[in-house]
Amino acid sequence: MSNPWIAIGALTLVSIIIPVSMTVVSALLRPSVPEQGKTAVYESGEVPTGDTRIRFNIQYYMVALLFVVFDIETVLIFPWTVIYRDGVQQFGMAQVLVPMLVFIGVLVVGLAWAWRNGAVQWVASDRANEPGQTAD
Amino acid sequence: MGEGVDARFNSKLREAFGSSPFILTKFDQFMNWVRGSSMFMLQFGIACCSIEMMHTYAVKHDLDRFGAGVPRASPRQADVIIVPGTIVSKFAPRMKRVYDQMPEPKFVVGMGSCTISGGPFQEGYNVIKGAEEVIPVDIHVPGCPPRPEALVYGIAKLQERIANGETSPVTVKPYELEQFSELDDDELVQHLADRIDEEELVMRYDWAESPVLEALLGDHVIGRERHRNAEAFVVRPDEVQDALFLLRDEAGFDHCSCVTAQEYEDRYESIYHLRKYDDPTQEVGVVVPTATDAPVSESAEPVYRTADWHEREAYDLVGIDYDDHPQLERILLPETWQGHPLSLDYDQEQPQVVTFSEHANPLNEDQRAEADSDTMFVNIGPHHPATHGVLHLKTTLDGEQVADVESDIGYLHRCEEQICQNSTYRHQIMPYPDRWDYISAGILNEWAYARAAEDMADIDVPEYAQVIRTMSAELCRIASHMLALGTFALDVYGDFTAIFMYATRDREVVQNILEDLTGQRLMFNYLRLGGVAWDLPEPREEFFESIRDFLEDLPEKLEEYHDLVTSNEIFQMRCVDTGVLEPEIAKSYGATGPVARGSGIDYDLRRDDPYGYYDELDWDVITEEGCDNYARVLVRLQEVEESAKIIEQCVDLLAEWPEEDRTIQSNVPRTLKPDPDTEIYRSVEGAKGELGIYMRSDGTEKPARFKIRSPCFSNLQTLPEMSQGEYIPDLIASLGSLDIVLGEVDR
Ligand code: SF4
Repeated sequence: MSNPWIAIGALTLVSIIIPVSMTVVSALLRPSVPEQGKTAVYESGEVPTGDTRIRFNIQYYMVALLFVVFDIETVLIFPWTVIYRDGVQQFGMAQVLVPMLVFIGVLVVGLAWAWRNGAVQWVASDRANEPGQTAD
Repeated sequence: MGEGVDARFNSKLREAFGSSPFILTKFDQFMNWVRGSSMFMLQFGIACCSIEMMHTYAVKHDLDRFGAGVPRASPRQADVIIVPGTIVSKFAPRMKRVYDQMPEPKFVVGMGSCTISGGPFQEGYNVIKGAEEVIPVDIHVPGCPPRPEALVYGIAKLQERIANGETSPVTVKPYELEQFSELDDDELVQHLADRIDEEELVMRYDWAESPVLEALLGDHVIGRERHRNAEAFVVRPDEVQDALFLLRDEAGFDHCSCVTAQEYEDRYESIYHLRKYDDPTQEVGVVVPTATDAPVSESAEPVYRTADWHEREAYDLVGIDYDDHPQLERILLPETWQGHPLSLDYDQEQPQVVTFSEHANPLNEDQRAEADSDTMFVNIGPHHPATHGVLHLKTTLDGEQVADVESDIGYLHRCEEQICQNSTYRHQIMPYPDRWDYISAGILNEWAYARAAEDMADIDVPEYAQVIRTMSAELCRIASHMLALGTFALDVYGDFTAIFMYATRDREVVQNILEDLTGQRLMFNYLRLGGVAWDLPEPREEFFESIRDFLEDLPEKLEEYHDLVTSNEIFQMRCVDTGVLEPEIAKSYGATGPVARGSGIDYDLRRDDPYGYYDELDWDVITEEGCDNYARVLVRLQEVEESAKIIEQCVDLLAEWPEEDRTIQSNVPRTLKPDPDTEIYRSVEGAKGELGIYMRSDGTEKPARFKIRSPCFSNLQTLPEMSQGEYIPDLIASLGSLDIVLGEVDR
């Protein structure tokens, strides 16, 4: 049996080569006309106001956290499904299925908790509802 | 560089190979083939031409067949920009910016005569005389607007040129960012405002005998005028609010349709055209004269919220100052504009400078310290697919919520009023109304002008012509509502969906019928003062048959729309109870049309202030009580049914009309010169609501003042009421449900 790291190394290599070569090829082929506006942020044709360094609303973090949780869940479930059949044959149903069910169960509890706490719902802020000062 | 290959295609690779890259020839050909065969268009609409551009993308014409179809919303992903429409001073720097942000190599297709020379608006004080002034253009497609076939041809030509490696030379014109201080002008106006001479004003008007309203207004009235549509009272400039409050609360004039400002030789004048939502035939004008050297009068904004924008426009274009106005700034022209273009001493030749800089976040300072998070200022538009044209929304977001929104308009201010004032009543004005609400609503707009001018000059319209007008106007309404539905679905579902394609498909049918009738797909120019341009096309039976076929298919298609749109659960979630507009608020903003009727206001000029043949026909005014985005969509869909009813009856009438009675035009003198100082305000029910025209004659063959009351202008003002505190997606849905056309908002 060959070293499994060879495959991983190859994958890493390919994943570096593809983007780099795309950048290089297009840099060689494209005409370059440097313009002031090209490097500016696109915001519907206007000059953007302020920068991105603002204090974001805390609620976005909850959404991001939940996303990460479920993203990782998918990453873990996929390889598990691939080896599921072989696994059952080798170790039996209980050994293979139960840990995953427990894992998903924990996540579901987490989701239910977050849901109940209103993390998936946007809490309206007073400030937006009654703007202290409008444009005029 | 290789033979016949343009500098535009010069890349690092070519430079590396020196001046004669022999080995690159084949490769170049390949690259150019690639560039030509897969073009990514920028989703970029400016004015009327963009409607035909959309039709070119959509079913039937299907630009995608030529490898140039799917429009991209971001310039970063596009390499072809079609410039469809009139470019005005305020928009030019934004367009340059969007063009700059496209990757190289990029190509420009100028669509329509406006991008060649300014087109029909060339004379306008605010209009850039062609796209070439701002960005280099590869292909010009002439026409006003060019047919989709012409655009397809233009793009095929562009592909050919790219394949041969030729393009127009790139000229890089960096747009200077400039900062300007406050206008010196304003200080001057302020200074003059202190010296108003009221005595003199009072002298000019005679007291007239007093009917009820005058008794009500009592001392506020300093004179009377007789406009063609209504009596008008002259009111002292410092008592405007009192007088208007009385008229609104005691006499029931709850609808301020329009504010017209104008300058005479010896004075400025603002006219408030008031009427009642319950009975729009009851009208009254309030005339507020102010001195030439200090045009200051009291703002009507506390009485009618809609006066806010109307007065800003009056300040912007004519130069009257309104005391007590919440935000008296320019609205249509750039902040830095010098002079007021519709005032008498305006010099159109003087150079103007337009700034291009950041907008301020209105909520930035006051809340930064206390709150846990910052508000974010986001520009939505002027180049944005959800703004339905070149509208700019200054949006301040608090997380997902809209904390503040302000519409910034004027990116398509094509000086329509000035141009109409420079044109003769008889023939020259009529083509322009087509370009106000350019969503195929042309005949409805033409009718607004026709009605005002005919009433002003006492011209009769033969009954036969009235039936044709009614029929064609309702066809326009269907086409317009179809586009409203299609683009609204685009806003809510977020992509060029089936619904948009279906709506375009049905519009094509209507446009074909209208083309048979008028000879044009979009800019009909079909009405004439005293009638219509020509009779129905021969053979008449075939024409009627095509309309009847369309009407026959319509119920089934509407059923389909209801399946796709209104009964879709996701759509309902997005639209029910969002963008709520209470009827009282809608009234104070002067909302009309489907927007008002979606808030349960039973107001339709076709029935309430009848014109044409409407009162002889059997149809209903649709209202919905929902006040939300959903109600407005429902109103439009049902109005299509009602329009179909009207058309059907008209077709039956026309089919049976005795041949000898088919007079299409009454006798109208070659040159029209209404009596001097005749004033009239007349309106019709356009596709978006009350479309009114105010005209004053000075005895010549051109109007001395031509003012357009655009329904979209008033409707758009309600946006902050509907979306403040709501989520961003609801803001987009609300804006879509208002169905604005920027050509009409900005005029
Ligand atoms: S007026 Fe309208 S239709 Fe005519 S060229 Fe200009 S944008 Fe196009």
